Amino acid sequence: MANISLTTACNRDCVYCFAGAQRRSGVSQMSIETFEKALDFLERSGIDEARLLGGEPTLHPEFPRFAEMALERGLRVRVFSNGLMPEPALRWLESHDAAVLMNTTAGDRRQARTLGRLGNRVTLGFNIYTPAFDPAFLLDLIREHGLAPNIRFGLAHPAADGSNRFLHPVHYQIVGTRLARFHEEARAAGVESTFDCGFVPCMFPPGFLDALGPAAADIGTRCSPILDILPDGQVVSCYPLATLAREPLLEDETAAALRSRFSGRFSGYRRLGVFRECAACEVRESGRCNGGCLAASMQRLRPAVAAVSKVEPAAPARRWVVPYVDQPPAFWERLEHEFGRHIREVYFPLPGDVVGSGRPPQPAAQLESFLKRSRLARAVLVNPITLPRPVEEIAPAIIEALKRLIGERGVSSATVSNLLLAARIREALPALPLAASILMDITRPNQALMLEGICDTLVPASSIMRDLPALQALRAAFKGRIRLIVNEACLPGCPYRVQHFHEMCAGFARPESLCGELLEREPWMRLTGAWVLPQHLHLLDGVSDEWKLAGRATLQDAPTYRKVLGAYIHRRPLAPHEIGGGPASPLAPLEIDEAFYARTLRCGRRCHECNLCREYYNETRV
Amino acid sequence: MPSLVFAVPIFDKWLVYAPLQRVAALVNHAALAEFPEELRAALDESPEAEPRPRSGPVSPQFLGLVPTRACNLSCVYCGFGATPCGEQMDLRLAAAGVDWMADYSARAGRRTLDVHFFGGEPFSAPDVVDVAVHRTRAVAAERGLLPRLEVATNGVYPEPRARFVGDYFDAVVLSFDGFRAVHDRHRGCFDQVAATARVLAASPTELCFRMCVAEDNVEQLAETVDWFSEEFRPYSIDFETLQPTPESERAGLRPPDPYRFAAHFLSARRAACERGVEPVYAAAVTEEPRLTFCPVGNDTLILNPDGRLSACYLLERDWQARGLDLNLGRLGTDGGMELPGEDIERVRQLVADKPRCQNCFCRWSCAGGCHVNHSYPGCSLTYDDFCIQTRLITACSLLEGLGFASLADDLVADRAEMQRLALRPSDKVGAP
Amino acid sequence: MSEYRAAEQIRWAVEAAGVVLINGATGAATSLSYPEAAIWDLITRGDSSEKIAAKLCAIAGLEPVAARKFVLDTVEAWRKAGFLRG
Repeated sequence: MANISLTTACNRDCVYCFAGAQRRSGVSQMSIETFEKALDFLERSGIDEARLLGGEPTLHPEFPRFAEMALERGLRVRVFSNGLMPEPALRWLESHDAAVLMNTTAGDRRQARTLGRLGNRVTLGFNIYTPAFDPAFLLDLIREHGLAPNIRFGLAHPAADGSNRFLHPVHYQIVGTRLARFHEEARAAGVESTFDCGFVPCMFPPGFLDALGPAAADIGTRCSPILDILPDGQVVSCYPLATLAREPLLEDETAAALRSRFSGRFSGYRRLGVFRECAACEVRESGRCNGGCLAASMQRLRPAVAAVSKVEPAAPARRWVVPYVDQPPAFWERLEHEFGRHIREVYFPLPGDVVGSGRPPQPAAQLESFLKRSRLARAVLVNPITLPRPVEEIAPAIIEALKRLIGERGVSSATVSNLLLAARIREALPALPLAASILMDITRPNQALMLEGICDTLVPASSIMRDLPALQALRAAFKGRIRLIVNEACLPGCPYRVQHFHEMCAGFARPESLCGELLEREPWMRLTGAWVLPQHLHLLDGVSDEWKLAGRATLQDAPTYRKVLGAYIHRRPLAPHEIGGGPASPLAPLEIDEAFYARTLRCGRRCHECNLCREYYNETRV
Repeated sequence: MPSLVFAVPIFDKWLVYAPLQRVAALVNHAALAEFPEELRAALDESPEAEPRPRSGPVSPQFLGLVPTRACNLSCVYCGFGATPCGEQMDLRLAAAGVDWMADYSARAGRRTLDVHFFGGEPFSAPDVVDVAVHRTRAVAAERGLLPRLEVATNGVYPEPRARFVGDYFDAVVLSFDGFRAVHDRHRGCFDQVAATARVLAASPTELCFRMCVAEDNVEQLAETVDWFSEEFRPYSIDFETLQPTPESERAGLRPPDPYRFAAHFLSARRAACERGVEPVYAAAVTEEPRLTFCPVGNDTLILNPDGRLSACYLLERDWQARGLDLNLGRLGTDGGMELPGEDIERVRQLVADKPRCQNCFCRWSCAGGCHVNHSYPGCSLTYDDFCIQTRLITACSLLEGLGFASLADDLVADRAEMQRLALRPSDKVGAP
Repeated sequence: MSEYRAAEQIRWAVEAAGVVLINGATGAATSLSYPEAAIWDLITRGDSSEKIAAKLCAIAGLEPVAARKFVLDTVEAWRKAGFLRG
């Protein structure tokens, strides 16, 4: 058995991924020459199966061709996929005899398309990285899509570079007990469980392995060099140990010889087991267990100089501007602990009745406590869609209020929607950084120039938030920082916008979302709004210095707030209905393919001559 | 009808509980008067014997070592009055204690040699810990036993020490009261404790956080559990309500309202379970009928820095103030052990009779709680805050076990209903 | 003693009955049982030879002179084996 890793590219960001080091080193695609060498290697080694993995192997642009080549050599093909595959790959798999092992997680509807079309060719895989897992949904998926009646469980093992989340051995027994319970339920439903490398007999309750039957045969002894051939042709013992040892794929090399070399390289480490007690374990002594995953065992190793204090990695730039929501101090404290290194500031509307902001008044019972106790930087919004009185009349009161907030409440910046007001504030408070609000509606380079000397940060208009060429033009024209809002979700150039924002900031009891009728008629337009999903942020990295999370009204629930912010900061995938967007955002679960999203960044919204979004909406709606 | 069946009201129903039969049921009012056949049959099954005080030769589950009563912190609720420097156990005494326990464990046919460290802060006497840890491991290896080391610690020490703790101890109980503001208000040194927690979380040890719950953090329990779980991934979190002391009163720190604690504990427990962390409220563990939930009455030997052996790791002056004598004997640096049988017997009998608990459905799970702070001779016969929260949490646990989690939610949302349950003087069910 | 430190290529792990040392360069493993395992721990945490010997008296039940000799002999053997440098 040996795996061929076609690409390091992946369209998911699983916290437990042990191939993070390869992924972070940039996208690397296997060349056809290397792939042929790998197939030669399999044949030479007497291996009759080409196991294609990644990253996500189907993202390799030549995936169908490579898979075809393997079949032509008489090899069986097995694909290890996350299920989010491009259409050509999916079409190829539909029409060819290849098995697919698909890793899944609860509630991920994005895989439904692939599961539905590949049916019983798919065996589900489930990786366990926390003791709090519930595999019951796997049985539902198998029933719903007629999948192979088999589940392959994997333990998330630690990567040698410490980059992933893995199951700590202290939790093995809890996991073993839960799996044993689930196995009974699964078997009653006609579904069998199999176990990947790293499981050890002592994690299961007594009697379970006997009940499991043949699948139990090598539990405890499955950790051996599996051989992963990387896209560059190097071979590693397995992914978690990839940073420790690698070998070139030589012309006359066989798998047995390579395995023997890796085994020799790690033989001393084999003395270790995942637990301290492994050294005194009779089962291990008898050869029925080799002590579990070698990478997990190596976590127990200590370096030569234990006393040297850890070097903290360089702090990431604080790039996130996040909304104040009315939560108690514990929420803010936790937010600081979890994301403090990423949070630039927390924004909230100018308190009191001086002037409104871009949203109707929100609960603020805890604001004073937040301002007094939190150590997060804070920014104030002075951004009504229009000012209720002339600037010269209203500016002094606003400036006074700002002075108080700066002095007494540590406010360190402000966002302003009126350029003349911004100029007055700059004159009075020259040290206060100012951001030009999205409501200033800046779309073109000439407008960006108007901000010079007044605003330090520019939040581009909603209408171009998903228009890469326009953003690039602004980037070139504006000397300050560009801040993009990631989840506002308004329609580009929305004709109802001014009235809607007027109602929101002028104290209307029930400000209306006026685009409702339009979106009922043309629901696909929801796909065109000003939002970007966490997993696609990288497409806008070049035009943004910082990101703003909207959500004063939509993210008031603390767990949702943390989930959404965490996903954006760590670029973990979310569906568009999960990002806390405004009323024009997609409301139903939709899978947003990166290729689709990337196209909409450059389409210029010429919807009269393009059906892409309409068709995409109809095809992917769950 | 067995005589030891209890029932507590849950709205218009009754939660029937027979701890010796390990039976719980939710029944309506009519069924309480005349138990349905199925329930009657379950209750008629031969119950376990009532738990009795231990008898026979002393049989400690573990040796408790107190290397010192000194502590490097001055937590506002701590009544120990510890100072950073204080008497430290003689290294030979520590070794003698370990040897005695190893001899006993081998003779008793145990597989493990269990030594638990208490303080003060045990690592305020680091040499004693070093010696005791290595002596335990050395004699365990000699005798074919597995060493099993546990420590209760404040985590305020440099990283190399934290690594030692993580590498050598099987379980670490780390006092960690929550977010920075709370922890610093209660104990101080948040950053160092968090740093130690990170080291321990990445090490092979089983990490348990012990969280002191007071009025000021009771509403943050679920939130804190979420954060603990995500940030440190501990194995378990142990919730203990503040035991008021003159020091805590001076600091303006009060125990939580027991009804609010019960409600918030329930949410915190769910949050912990969802994240794979074991939540612990030790007084509400119903797995095994017991007469005591602490070392007292379990033959545990706590070796104090001066060689005294006691049944409890609290200070001698504290139990003396309650009229208790929990001393069991003495160990010399030469290994000479005095362990008079009458002292063992006296302490064993202490746990037998707790008048306040007689009619309470938790009598064999909570078992009266701490014998020094709660169930001491002459203590009040009416339920106190500890009883109230324990009764509520135990009832909720039983309801959840029966599949009535939402009823438990309803219960802790209704203070009047909680009071009806918690303040009921007797839960015993009479013969139908 | 304090001038001795674990050699850079050495990694080690605590086992139930001792310590296992692994040479990161060669992959070779060596098990240390007690009382050597205690000496290893104390050296890696920077104890002086005097302090290690004092603790070893209680850990291994040795007389002070014997404990000191045992520590010095052990350290010398480890230095020759390449586990320690200095």
